[in-house]
Amino acid sequence: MNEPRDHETIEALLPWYVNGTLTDEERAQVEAHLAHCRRCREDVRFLTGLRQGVKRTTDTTTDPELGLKRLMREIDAEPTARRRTPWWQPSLAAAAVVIVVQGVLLFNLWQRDDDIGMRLAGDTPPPAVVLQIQFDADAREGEIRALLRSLNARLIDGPSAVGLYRIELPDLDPGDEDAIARVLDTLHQRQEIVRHVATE
Amino acid sequence: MNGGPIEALLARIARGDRRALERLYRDHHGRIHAFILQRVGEPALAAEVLNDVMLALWRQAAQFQGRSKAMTWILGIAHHKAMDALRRRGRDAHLTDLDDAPEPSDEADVAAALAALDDGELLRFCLGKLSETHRAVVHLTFFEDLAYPEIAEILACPVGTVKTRMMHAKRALRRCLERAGAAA
Repeated sequence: MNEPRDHETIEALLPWYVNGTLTDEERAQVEAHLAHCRRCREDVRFLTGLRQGVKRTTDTTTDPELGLKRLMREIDAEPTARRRTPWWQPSLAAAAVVIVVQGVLLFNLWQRDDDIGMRLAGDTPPPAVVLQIQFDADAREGEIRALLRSLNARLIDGPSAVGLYRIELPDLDPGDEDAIARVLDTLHQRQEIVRHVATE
Repeated sequence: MNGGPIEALLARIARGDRRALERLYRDHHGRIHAFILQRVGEPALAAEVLNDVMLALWRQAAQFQGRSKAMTWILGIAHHKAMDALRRRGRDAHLTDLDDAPEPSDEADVAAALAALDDGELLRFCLGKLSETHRAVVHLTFFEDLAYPEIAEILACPVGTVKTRMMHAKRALRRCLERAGAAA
């Protein structure tokens, strides 16, 4: 005598049977019921058509530019107190100043180097793995910092006349080619930040 | 950026990265706007709500804890913002006669309903006759292809309510389409 209740329970699941999001157990229950319930099979036909129709008639092609400009205007107009000011912000700003000063100081050094401008450290081999890296012009300082921190890398020189920096990875063994390849691979995947990277 | 591109963008937004917000807007505004438009029905109001949602993301991205999918979390914010907008306009959950539609007629008429589904205008007409809450369930089920627990999370209601709303919406739509298909 549970049949009507079972039918209702299964019928309620049919929309999600059609969109493929039921659990395996639920799907098996639905399929067992469909084998002997013509009404639910009709329902599945209708819901399948409805799903196709909803996808076809839903318009997602709106121009983002107008709305985006307005959003950015409103964000710019927000009081600074409402913006996030993480505890590390002051130290980040200080670090940015150091990097800029370092960049200016090193710039002349790079200029005096050979025409590739990359053998700044002279003849002594690097104490750890050193990579040459060029960041994307649009990359933000915070993104670069987070990337370097994720690799436990530190910026040791740069920028060169062609915008190259040198980063040192003290955790890596210079003889561990696999580990170096993995880091290079990681950096190559961050194309929004890294334009070029190579071992020195 | 695969394996959670929206989650990655939210993490960057939480750090105050405007470019990440721009990227999220450009890549996903269409889906979010489509959901809002289903709720509020008016393009101008939907644009207002979309702006509210994006501002909320800018301010609250750090609150995303990863307990649900990022888009589920975003659509949940969109749901609340849409409800707020409707309340401000004094249009809280208006129901139409379609929501009280009787049981669908016999099985033979499913062919008429299916034929009517091919006509985008008829489908839009019948969807427009549903209440916002019922239309939202249909949209999230068949456009976003979400599971019913995710829909319950977005709409902040029990899963049983999602199923009940879907059942009502289905019957109402089928009835409307059958009539429209028969009249065409």
